[in-house]
Amino acid sequence: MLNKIFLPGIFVVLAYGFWISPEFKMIAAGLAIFLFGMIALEQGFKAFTGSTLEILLGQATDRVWKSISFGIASTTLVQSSSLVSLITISFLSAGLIDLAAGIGVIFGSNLGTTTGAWLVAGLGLKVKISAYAMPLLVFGVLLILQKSRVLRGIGYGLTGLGLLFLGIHYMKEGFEAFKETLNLAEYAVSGYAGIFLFMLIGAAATLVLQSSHATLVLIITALAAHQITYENALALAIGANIGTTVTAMLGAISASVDGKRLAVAHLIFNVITALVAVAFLQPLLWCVEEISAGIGIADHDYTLKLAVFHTLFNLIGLVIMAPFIKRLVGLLQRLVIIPAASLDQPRYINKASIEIPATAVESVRNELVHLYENAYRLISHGLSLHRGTIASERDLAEAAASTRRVMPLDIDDYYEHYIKGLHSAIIEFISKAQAQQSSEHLSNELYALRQASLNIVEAVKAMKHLHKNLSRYVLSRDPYVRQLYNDIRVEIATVLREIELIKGQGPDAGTILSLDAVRLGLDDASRKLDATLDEYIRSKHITAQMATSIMNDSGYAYNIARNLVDMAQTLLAAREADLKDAEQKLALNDADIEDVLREDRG
Amino acid sequence: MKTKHLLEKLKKFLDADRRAQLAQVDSIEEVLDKLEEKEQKLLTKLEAESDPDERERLEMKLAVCQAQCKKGVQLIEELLVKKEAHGEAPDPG
Repeated sequence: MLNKIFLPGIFVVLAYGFWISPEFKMIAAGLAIFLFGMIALEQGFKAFTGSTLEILLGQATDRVWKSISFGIASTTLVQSSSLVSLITISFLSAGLIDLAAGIGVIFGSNLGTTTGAWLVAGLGLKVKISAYAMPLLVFGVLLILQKSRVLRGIGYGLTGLGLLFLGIHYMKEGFEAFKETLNLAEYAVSGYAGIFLFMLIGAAATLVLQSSHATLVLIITALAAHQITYENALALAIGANIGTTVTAMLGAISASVDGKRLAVAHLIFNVITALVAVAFLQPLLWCVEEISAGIGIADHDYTLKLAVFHTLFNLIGLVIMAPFIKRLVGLLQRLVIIPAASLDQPRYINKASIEIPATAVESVRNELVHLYENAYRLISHGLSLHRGTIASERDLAEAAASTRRVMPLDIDDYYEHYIKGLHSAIIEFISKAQAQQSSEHLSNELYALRQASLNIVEAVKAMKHLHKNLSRYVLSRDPYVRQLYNDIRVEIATVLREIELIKGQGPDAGTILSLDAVRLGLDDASRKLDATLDEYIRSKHITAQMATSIMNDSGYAYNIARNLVDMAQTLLAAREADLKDAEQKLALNDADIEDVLREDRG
Repeated sequence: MKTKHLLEKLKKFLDADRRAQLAQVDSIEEVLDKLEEKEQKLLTKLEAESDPDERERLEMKLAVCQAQCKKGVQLIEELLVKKEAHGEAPDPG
């Protein structure tokens, strides 16, 4: 709705501006080229770095200081806080890093982004960068036309850089020409009224441009052409810092709860930093003068002084806020609460986590664990066994035999609410993520995960069939029937217990090989059940009709257990491709299991 | 002589198959180490266990673990034979 009014409004204002002022047209075109350059640069980094940034983010965020350092370094390197934020939100949404690490990265990124002002003020305005733009664009576009993903990535990077340079050049020229017809500095407002007014303008400009980096370049070029006063430029820079958080908040609407918490943390950081900057503006300016004099910045070089100010106030914000990250996490967890109905809602798969290939796979994996937990709840309830009992070391046969009450369960309702919707969401997400995958390896992973989701649903459906008779006969007065159904319950509960045990060990080398023993145990239990059944039929302890029912139910039980084991094989496998491959090679196939069973009996 | 040596090194570097095999051997050995650790734990548990059902369960787990180890050792041997076919002596131990 807002966009419907806002966007045409901007178009009209811009068109009018272009009509009356060619200089304004030049500045706007420069800004457009600059923004397009940033998009190309991001595209380049996404394609070029592949998973390097992601691997680093996963490894370098176990301590807060590491997260902050990562935020500073990565943003300085890629010159895009939005790319770093995007990856961080993706990681957070996929559950790969915790909120404290995410906040650390975002805080660090805020400081890292200030290096952009230094580059533009120190290099962009001093050197004729447009001369570098042309070759960069030519080489860049030539590389974009290549087939290799890496070369294309470098091409996008070079083109992006060329466009950034060209954009800055046009903005600079535009403001210079503007000076001859209109002096914007005449509209400068001094005092606190000016500070707040220009802060508002800075925030609004960043909201429109969707980039504080672009706003800052605009401010620096305008300041270099003396179109705005130094004082107002400072206020604009503070405003840009606030504006960027609004952009992040809008981006977080589709993110997970932790993604939303991160956006709120960003807002809190930038608002507090801005308040501190405004409240202590005079002492800050004194510091800027001292630092500038100390590092040899000329007295009249206000663009570089603005860069000093920008870095200084963000650094102060970081120093003030960093010790409170843990408390901030606590506050955010209380403020932004996970909706109560989240059991049936996807927790990890969302628009944010689909952006990065590795996080897309990881978020599906985490969501599948969520789906499995719902299925585990349903199956254990259906077996009339508490999850606590299954997870304990208590003898399951004894626990099954001591059951005095059938747990009430509307299995169809539970399936509709907690399984079907989540499964559909996972399948939909995988289809979308697969369309975006260029890597065969990740695409195969997603395919295997889809199969695991189907395994869970198949197990639940088999439980639905089994539940009818199980709830009827679990307390049967006939001791033979009751015993057979108890054996079925123990068979499934044993598999659930083993999966929980393996889950608890984490995706270590060889962990999933334990599932072979589960499969063997399952085949053994199934055979024993058949043997008992045959014996009961022969000795007429149960009727042939009853035996047929139990055989069917035993089939459902086997189906549940096998599907759960197959699911666990995918879900709990080692993450490293080489180890996973080795595990698969060592895993026993049906013939191997048959051999072990034969040796066991022999 | 020096050129020949350098070419040999380059050949080895470019031999992706050989490098992939070596990586496979490393990964299998890593999994085997874990399996051996697991086997030891199972043996200790088995010694301390007196319940026949529990003993049967542990023995089955142990049988699976040993079958997997056997499979792993065979695989490594096969890979090392392939490595020898590349004209290189297998690693000792």
